[in-house]
Amino acid sequence: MIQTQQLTKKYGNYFAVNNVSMSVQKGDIYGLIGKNGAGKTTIFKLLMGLIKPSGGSITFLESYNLEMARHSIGFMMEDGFFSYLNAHDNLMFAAKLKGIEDEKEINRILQLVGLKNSTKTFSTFSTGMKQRLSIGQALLGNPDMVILDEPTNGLDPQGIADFRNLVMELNQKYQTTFLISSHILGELNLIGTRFGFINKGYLVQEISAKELHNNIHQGLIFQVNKLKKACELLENKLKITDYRVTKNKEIILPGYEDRPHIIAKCMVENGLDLIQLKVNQVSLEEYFLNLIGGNTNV
Amino acid sequence: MFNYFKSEIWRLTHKRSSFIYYVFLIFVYIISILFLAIQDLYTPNTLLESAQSIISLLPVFVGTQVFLAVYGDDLKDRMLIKIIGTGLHRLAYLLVKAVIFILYSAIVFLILGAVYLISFMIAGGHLAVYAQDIQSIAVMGIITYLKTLAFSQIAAAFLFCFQKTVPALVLFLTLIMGVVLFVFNIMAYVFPIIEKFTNYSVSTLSQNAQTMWINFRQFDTSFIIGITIYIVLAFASQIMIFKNRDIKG
Repeated sequence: MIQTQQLTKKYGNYFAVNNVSMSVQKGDIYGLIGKNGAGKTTIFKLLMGLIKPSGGSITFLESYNLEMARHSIGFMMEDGFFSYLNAHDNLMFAAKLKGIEDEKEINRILQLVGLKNSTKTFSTFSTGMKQRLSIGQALLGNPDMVILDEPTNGLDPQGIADFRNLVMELNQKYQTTFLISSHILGELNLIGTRFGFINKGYLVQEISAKELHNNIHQGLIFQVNKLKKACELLENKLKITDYRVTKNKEIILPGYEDRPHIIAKCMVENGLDLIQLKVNQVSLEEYFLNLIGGNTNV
Repeated sequence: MFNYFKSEIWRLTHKRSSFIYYVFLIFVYIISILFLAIQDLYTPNTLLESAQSIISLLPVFVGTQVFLAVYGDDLKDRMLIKIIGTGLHRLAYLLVKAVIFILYSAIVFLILGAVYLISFMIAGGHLAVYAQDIQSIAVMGIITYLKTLAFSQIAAAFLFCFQKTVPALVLFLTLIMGVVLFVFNIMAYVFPIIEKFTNYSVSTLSQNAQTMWINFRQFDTSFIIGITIYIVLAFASQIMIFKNRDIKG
């Protein structure tokens, strides 16, 4: 759907985006993750033609005619709308701009983002309402591809959950492709199928959700009252030899995080007391910070 | 491009504050005409004289409002990102803006002119309205309208350069109120060569055209040529400036 080849944006001697080659496939929910100033918004601006690249190329929907391709992309960046128009009228303006004249579509979107009954002008909207309207505008006309820059900023927990469900529903129902940047990495982790980690303008890593899952889940940890017997059971009964024991007498089983019931059953049936059993995992934040070698805010 | 044109028309017709402003202007017109009628201050020259004064104020009171509505709102409300982000070609954006400004200001000029004339004819019913006077008012209106167009396109080039409304609005007002010409005229005392250029300024050209009409009842074609050159050059500058400019958030 979207492919960038060595995409670069330079301001003087400063590289806001440096040789970024990323690929978003049809049906992906692609999470672009990076610190403030890492280059996420600059990439989005480059994709949408708001700024001109200093180098590299972009292809949308297998087309080099970017202006035509952008017509079929839903796009959300910042919460700007005409301050004197209400939600319906702002959506109507955006719909007409896209050549959509259907009043039903406006009402569908208003319903979708929970602004159906809002008659207030945009200038009096709360941050959450502004964000909802921005998301709604990006979804006008059911586009094949939606680009969202920090869509959950300013949304309350219910709004975030609604947004997550909406993205997943559209993705499953219509195969809508999403490219999303967010600071709330936990949220992206719940819905993303593919991730790009960006730091100081460089795309540090591009990884699928499955690979990421394997990387951040580092095994199953358990502790019992009789360590020696537990090791014998693992080796003889379950035929597991690639385990290790920590100083705290915990046993770590890499790759067994999805099978804790097998371990628990075996230990308990053989008369051992299970003191603890947990999946050893690093958070997406920790993973990201380890990747970029930093510890600042994401 | 046609979709954007339609959406802009739709937006402008849904901007209630503009309509409230124009109704207020019409109200002020009618009050001033009624005042003249009540005071019995009408003379055979009142129509032409008062129309001249009002036409000279239109660029400030109407031009500014139309400029802000057409060009200013996109930047003030951070809509430029959204509009260009839909894949609209930048040249199409500029073209639609210019066409909308031309149409919108023409409609407002015409409506206000018609309202003024009708109010005058009702309030000053005992006075004859000569076709010659109406012709003069129309010519002065056209000259002022074209002057407003030229200044708007120059200010718009400035607006797209800095992507800020206020500096462009200040430029538009200083041009329309003759401040820029005044400054150049003063500078011409020190550097006489400047006078050669000020003779071809929009304000001087429009002044000459008005004088020629009043004195000789002839329309100055060099004014049309001059204004067209200004508009074309200003629009070409907008294209050059905006073509590769980063859209600010």
